[in-house]
Amino acid sequence: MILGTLVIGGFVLLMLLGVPVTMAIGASAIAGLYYAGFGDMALVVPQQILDGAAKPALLAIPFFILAGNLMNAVGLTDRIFNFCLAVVGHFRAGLAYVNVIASLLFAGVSGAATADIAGLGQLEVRAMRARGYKPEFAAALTVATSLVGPIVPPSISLIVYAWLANESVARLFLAGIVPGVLVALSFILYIRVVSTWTPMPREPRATFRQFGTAALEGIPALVAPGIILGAIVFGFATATEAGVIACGYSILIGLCYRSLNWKAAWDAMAESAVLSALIMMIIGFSQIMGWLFAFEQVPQAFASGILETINQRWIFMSFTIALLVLIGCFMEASPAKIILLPLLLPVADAFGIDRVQFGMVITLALLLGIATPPLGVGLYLMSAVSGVRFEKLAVAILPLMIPPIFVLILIAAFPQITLWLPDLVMGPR
Amino acid sequence: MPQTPRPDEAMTGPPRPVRHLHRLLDGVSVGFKVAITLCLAVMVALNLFNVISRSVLGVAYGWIFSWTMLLFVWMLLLGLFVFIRDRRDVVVDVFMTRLPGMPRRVAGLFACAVGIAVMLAILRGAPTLLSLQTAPMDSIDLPIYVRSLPLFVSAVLVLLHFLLDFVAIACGWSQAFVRPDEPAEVGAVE
Repeated sequence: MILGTLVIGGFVLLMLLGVPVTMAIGASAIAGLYYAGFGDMALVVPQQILDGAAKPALLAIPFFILAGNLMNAVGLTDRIFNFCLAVVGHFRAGLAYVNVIASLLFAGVSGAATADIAGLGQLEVRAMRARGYKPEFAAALTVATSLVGPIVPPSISLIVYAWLANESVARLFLAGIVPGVLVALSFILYIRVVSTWTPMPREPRATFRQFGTAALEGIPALVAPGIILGAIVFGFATATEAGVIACGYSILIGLCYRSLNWKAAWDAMAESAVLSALIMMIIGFSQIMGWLFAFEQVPQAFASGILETINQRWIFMSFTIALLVLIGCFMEASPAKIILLPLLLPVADAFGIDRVQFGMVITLALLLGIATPPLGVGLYLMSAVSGVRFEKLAVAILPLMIPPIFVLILIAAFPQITLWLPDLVMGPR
Repeated sequence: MPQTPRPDEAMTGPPRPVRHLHRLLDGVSVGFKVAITLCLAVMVALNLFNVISRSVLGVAYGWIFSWTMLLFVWMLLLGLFVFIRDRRDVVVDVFMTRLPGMPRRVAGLFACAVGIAVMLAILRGAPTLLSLQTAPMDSIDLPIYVRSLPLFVSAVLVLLHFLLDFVAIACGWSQAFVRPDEPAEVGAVE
C-alpha cells in the first residue's frame, strides 16, 4: 500500500508541478521501481512501454479517431448541425437543444469528446454567439455536451475499459446507448429549466422542403452508428474492423458529397496519427505502473483494505464515484483507468457489481474531468477554439455538471439502465 | 493549452548551433509526422481491403494483421517524438502559470529534468533489449528489434528536445509556462 500511495501520489504531484503527463507517469513509475528494488532491471521500462502500447485489443483506437476526424473533414458535422436545426431549432433555446442533439448524433460516429469540441463545437459556438447567446454559456454547453461522445458507441474509453476488464466490446458498446441518451436528455431538461428565466432565442421554423433536405443530408450520419454497432454486435466484424469500416464509410460519404479532398484527408490522418500516439503512449507509460503494482500485489492489498472498511455495495459505489470524479480533475482518463482499475475491479467483483455497469460508472465519472479544472482538456481546447477565457469557462461549466452527475448516480444505483440493452440483444449472462 | 514556447522564438535568442539543432529537430519531427501518417493510411487501406475481400470473396489474409500491428507500433513510437516536439502532451500548467518569475523558471527546469530522466531510463535498457530481440517476428521475416527500435530513436530525440528546453530556460532564452495574456518574449512588441 505504501508503494501504491507513493507512486500515485508522486504522479499527481508531478502533474501539478507542470510535468507533461507521459513523463509524470513514467517518472513516478520508475521511482516506484527503484523503491521496490527493481532499479537494476534496466529492461523493465522499455519492455513494459512496448507491451503496453502494442496491444492488439487497442488497435481499434486510431481507426475510430480517424473516422471522427474524417467525418469532420467531409463536412458531416455541418449536415448533422443542419438536420438538428431543422428538427428542434424553432423551440425556445433552439440552438442550445441543437448543441445537445448534434453531439449525441456525432457521438455515434466519433469515439472522442475532443473530436466533437474541435469539429462540431466550433460550429455550434459560432452559431450560438451570432444569435446572442452568452459566449461562455455557448462554450461551456458545448464542452459539457461533448461528454456524450465517449459514452455512446463507438467509444475509445470503452475500448480501453474492455481491454482492462477483459469484457466484451460489443456488450459495453450496447450498454453505453441508454446512459448516453440519458445524459443528452438531462441536458435538454436543464436547458428547458434555465430558459424559463434566461432569454434564449428561437430559430425560424424549417419549411417542409428544408426539413426534407436536411433529413436527406443527415441520413449518412444517422445510419453510421447502426452500421458500426451492427457490424460488431452481430459478429460481422471485430471492433478493429468496425473502426476500419467507419473510416471507409467516411471516405465513401466524402466521395459521394464530393467534399473530401487530398489535403483534408491527409490533415485528418496526420491529426489522428498524432492523437493516437499520444493516447497509446500514455497507456504504454502507465503499463510500467501496472506491472509494478501487479508484481507487488498492490491491487490485492487495496482490495482487502477496502473490504475491511466498506461492507456495503452502495458505499463502495459512492466511494468509487467520489474518488474518480476527484481524480478525473487531475488525471487523464486513460492512465487513471489503467492505474486504478486493477485496484477497484476485484472489490467490485467481490460486491457482485456487473463489470459492464461498473465500466459505465467509471467511464462517466472520469469523463467529467474533461470539463473540470484544473486539467479539463475540453476546457482548454474550447478556450482555444472559441476565444473564451479559461477561467470564465471553468466557472460557466459548473452548473452544467449537475445533469451528468445526476445520470451518473442513476447509473450507479440502477444496474438495469446499463444492462437492459446488452441483455436484450446479446442475452443475459 | 499554454505551454513552454520554442526557444527559437525566445527572449534574447540562442547561439547559432542551438538554433541549428532546433531546426534539425523540427525537420525530423515533420519527417516523422509524414511517416506516421503514412503508417495509418496503409493500416486503413490494408484492413479495408481485408474486410472487403472477406465479405465479397470469402478470403482474408493473415499477414495483414501482422503488418498492421507492426505499422501500429511504429506509428505510436515515432509519434512519441512528434507529440512531445509539437507540445501536444497534456500539461496541467494552471498553477505554474500563476507563479512569479523565478519559481516558475525552477518549475520549468524541473519538468525538463524529469523528461530527461525518463528518457535516460528508457535508453538505459536499449542495449540489453535490442540484443535479446534478434530472433525473427512470428509472421514477418524481420528481427523483433525492428519493432522496438523506433522507441529508442524517439527517446534520443525527446532527450535532446528536453535538454534544449532545459538550456533555453536556464539561459533565459525562453520562459517556462507562459500565460496566454503575457508576451512569450522579453522585449517583444505585441
